[in-house]
Amino acid sequence: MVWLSGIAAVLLIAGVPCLVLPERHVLGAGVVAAAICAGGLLLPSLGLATAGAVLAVLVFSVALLVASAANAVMAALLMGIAVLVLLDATHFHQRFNRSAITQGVMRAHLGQLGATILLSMLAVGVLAVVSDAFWLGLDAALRPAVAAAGGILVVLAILRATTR
Amino acid sequence: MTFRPSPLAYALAVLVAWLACLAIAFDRAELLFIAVPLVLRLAQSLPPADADIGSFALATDGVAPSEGDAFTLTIDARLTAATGLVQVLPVLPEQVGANHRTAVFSPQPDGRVRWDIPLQCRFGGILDFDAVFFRQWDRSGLWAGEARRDQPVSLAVRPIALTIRTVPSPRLTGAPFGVHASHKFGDGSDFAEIRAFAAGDRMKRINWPVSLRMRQLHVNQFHVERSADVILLVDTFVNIGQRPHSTLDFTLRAAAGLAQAYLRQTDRVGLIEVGGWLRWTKPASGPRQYEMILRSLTRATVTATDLRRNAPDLPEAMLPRHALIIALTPLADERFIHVVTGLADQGRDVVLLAIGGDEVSLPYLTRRASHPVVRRVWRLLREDRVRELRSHGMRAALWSPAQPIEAALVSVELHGTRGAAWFG
Repeated sequence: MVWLSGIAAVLLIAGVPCLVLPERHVLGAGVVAAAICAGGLLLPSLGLATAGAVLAVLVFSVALLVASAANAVMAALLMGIAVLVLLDATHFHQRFNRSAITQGVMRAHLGQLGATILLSMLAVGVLAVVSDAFWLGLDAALRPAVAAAGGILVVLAILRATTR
Repeated sequence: MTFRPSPLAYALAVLVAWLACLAIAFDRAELLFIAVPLVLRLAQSLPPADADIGSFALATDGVAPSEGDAFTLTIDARLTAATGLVQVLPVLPEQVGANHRTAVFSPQPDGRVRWDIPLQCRFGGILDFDAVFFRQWDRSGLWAGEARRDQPVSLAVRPIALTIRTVPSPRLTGAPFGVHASHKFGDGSDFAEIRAFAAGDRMKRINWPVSLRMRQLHVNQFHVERSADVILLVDTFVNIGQRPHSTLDFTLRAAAGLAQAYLRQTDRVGLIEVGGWLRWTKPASGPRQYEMILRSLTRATVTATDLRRNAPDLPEAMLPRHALIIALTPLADERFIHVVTGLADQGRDVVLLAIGGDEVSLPYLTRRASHPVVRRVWRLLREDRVRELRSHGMRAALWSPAQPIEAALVSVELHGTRGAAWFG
C-alpha cells in the first residue's frame, strides 16, 4: 500500500509541471526528476529521493517562471503532496524494508499521512485566500524581502524543532 | 530512551529551505504552497516524552530442537508512552534462519508489544540470545529513540544423527551381554567350531549328524557375545566449508549416528573432542549416554589454536586398551593426525574416517581451483594420505559427504589390516 502511494507520487512528480506549462521539454525534465525519485523509492534511499524532489521542484519553478501562469496554487499543492508522499514512502521502506509489518501498522501510518494531506489542502485553501488579499496590497520590491523573511522563519523553526 | 530527529526530518527541512530560496529567486508565492504539506508534517512532529521500556521478557517455547527444527522465540515488552510505531530488533545468532529479523508494531493502548518469532535452526550448536533493541518512532516518523534490553537465553540445538546400520566391528570386546562375537567360547549365537564331547557339556549342544558319522559324541562350540567400548574422536581443529554444510557439521552428524548405532547394540560409547578444547564424555551405555553425547556434540566448536603447536595429550582413563577408537577428521590438521597415528602405533584398534573437505569447500572455490583436474589431484593426495595412515595399522577410509556414510564404513571393513574383528 505504501508502495502504491510512492508510485502515485512519482507519477504526479512527472506530470504536475505539465499542468503549469504543457510542453514536451517540461515533461521530459519532469520524467528525469521522477526517474531519480523512483530510484530513491526502489533502492530505497532517502538521499536519492530528496535529490529527485529538489530537481522536481526546480523543474516546477522553471515551468512556473516560463509560463507566467496567473495562479498555479492547485498544481503547487499537488506537487507538495507528491513530494511529501514520496519522501514518506521512501523513508517507510528504508526503515522497515526487511521487517515483518504487523497488523495495524499500515493503518496507523497511512492514517497519519492522510490526515496531513487533508490538513494541507485546508491550509493551502486558507493561505490562498489570505495571500491573494495580502499580495495585492504589497509593493513588488518588498515581496522578495517578505518571502526571504518567511523562508528564514521556517528554517529557524525547523532548526529549533530538530535540535530540541 | 533519547529521541533524535530522523533522516526524514532533515530531508523535509532541506526541501522547505530550497522552496523558500526558489520562491525568493523566482518571486513566485506558489512555490511556498508546495512547502505547506512539508511544514505541516514538521509541525505535527513532537518527540515522545518519557518513553521507555517498562517491562521486558525474552523466552523460547521450551522445546529442545535439533538441526532443521523450528522453534519460537517470544519477545514481550511494555513501553511507557508509546505513541507511534515500534520496531523490535533482536540480535539473532547466525545459526538461526528467520523470514524477518525485525518487526514493526503499532503498540496496543497499554504499550504492550509481543512478537512470537518463528525461527529455524540451521545447524547444531548453542544458540545464545541476549540483546533486543527497541526503536520507537513518533506518529509522523520524524523522531526516533532507541533502547536496549538484555536477557540471556540459551538453547542447545542438537545435531541430526545419520542413519547407520552397519558399524565397524571392534577387534577386542569388553563387558558381557553384547552383540559382538568374542574370540572366547561360550553361550553365544555365532558358530565357532565342532569338538569332541567332554564331561559337563550340555546335551543340546551335541551335533548329532557329526557324532553319528564319527561314532563319537561331538558338540558345537559358539563364540560368546560381548559388548565393546567405542571412543569417538572428533576433530575440531579445523572446519572446512560453510555451515551447515561444513566438515564440522558432517563430523558431528556422523558422530551422533555412530553413537546411536553402537549404543543400540548395548556397547559403551565415549566421546573426545580434540581441538581448541579437549573435552570428553566418559564411556557408558544406554539412552541417557546418547543424550550426554548429543549434549557434548552440541558444544563442539572450532576455536583458534594457531599458537598451540603440539598435539594435546588425551586422558588415559578415557582410552581403555580394548576400546575401538573411531576418529572423524577432514585430514586438514597435522596435530589431530599425530594423535591418531600415536594411538595406532600403540597397537590400539583405530578406525579413521576422512571427511571430504575438498568437496564441501567446492561451492566457495574459484573456477580455477575447482577445475576437475585440480580436484582429481586433491583426491589422489588424500587417498595417498589414507594409504599412509593404513600403514600405521589403522583401518581408514574416505567419506564423501555426498555419499551415504555406510559405504565408507563398509570400505573401512574391507581395508581391515588385521583380519575380521571377531577373531580378535
